[in-house]
Amino acid sequence: MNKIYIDTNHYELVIKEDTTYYLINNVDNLDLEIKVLENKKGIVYLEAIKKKVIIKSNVEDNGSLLVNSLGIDTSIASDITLNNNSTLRFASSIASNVDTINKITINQVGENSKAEYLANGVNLGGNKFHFLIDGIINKESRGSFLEEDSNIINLKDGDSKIIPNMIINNEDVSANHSAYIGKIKNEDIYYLESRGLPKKDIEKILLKASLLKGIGNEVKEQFTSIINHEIKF
Amino acid sequence: MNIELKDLEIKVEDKVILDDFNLKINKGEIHAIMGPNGVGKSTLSKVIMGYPDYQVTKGDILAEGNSILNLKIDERSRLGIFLVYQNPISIDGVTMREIIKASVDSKDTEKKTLYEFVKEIENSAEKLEMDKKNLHRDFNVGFSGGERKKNEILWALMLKPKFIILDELDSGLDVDSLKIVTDTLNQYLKENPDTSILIITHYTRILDYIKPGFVHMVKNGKIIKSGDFSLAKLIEKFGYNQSFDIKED
Repeated sequence: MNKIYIDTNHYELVIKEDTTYYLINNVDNLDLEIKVLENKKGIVYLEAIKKKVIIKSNVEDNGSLLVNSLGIDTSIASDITLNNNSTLRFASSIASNVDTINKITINQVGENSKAEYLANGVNLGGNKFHFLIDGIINKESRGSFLEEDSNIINLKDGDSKIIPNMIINNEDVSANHSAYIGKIKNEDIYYLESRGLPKKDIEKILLKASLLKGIGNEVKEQFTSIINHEIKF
Repeated sequence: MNIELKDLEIKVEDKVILDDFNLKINKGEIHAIMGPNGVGKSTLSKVIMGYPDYQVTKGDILAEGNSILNLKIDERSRLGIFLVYQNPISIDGVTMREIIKASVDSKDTEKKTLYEFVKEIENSAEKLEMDKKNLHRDFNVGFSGGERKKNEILWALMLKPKFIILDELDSGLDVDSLKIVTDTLNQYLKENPDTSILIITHYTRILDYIKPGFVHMVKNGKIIKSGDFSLAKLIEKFGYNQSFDIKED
């Protein structure tokens, strides 16, 4: 895995070979551009602590991009274009005590493209926390697949919103979305209490779990350590 | 563990679910509660566990002679009460091993080292003929009904309870898995003879594997008949609507 510390406001990553990157963002406002060339596979892990990130990406024909990002008190916006037979798997986890508006656009312009976007949020305070997700499947994108799954756990009574839009211009596609905003489910708390865990510990476990949902095993430990360090439960 | 339910009345949103319910389970005894759907069998398990949605409006629940009504769910668990759920939850983002470790740590005053814990959980998984890789998967995510039940028993083995409630244990378990799970439980009972069990079931199938000394038939929130194992056989033969004055040939 290539570890890169980013100290510049604009960073361009071109995936020319199948490669895994671990990016640590050190600037307040980062424009990150990821290009995945034809037939190549890129895996990008991204940490953004108290920094804003805009990710712009183009996945060329038969290319594949997997992104796992963790943001604390931040916003991560993404604008991703998928070409013929390309795939995207994006799991974005954000916990925030400050207002955060996360705008995501997935533009499927090629045939048989496949996009799975998982947005995990924990609203730690009484702040705004929004996921605005637009999935666009164009007329020429037959055989494509789009899935949006978004969840925000409200620890207090914050203003949380999920607005999933699916703009589908071809009939031969499959698209679905699910969204959940709410407190931790009582059913889950009672179950874990019945295994001897006190409520405070359960809340920590379930919040961490919700941020690690869909995150690859390769970075789970690293992300867990950031969550433990950065979030005051 | 000695457990006693004394004159219990349970309400949910002002509706009486259990009424004048009495049951005494002594150390090492196995009891079975049988009844058709919707008579309050699963409610009973959650009441004993301390679910706050159920109001105990009369009576008491005693463990070793002491009332546990004021204890929270986790405190009852740490006392040694363990409920094997009919439909266990799943949790994305946390592995089975992690969650069971946290639970074991919260119970044990002397914490096990990671090595001791791993050795013990792997031994227990082996007894249940589970794939050890499952320990590293997110808890119950993508597991079949039968695998989830095995996970429940695995967790029980790790917490070493003194009173186990089995709520419809056999649902979702195929014959081979049911045998593995019940053999493991029977072995646990042999090694821990003071452990008592309450089996909640519609069907007698599980009772052929874990034999109860006492069988109770529940209807309309009350125990209407108690007997030994032969009562289960009568229920199997004649159903729940008979008066059971019938004598078997």
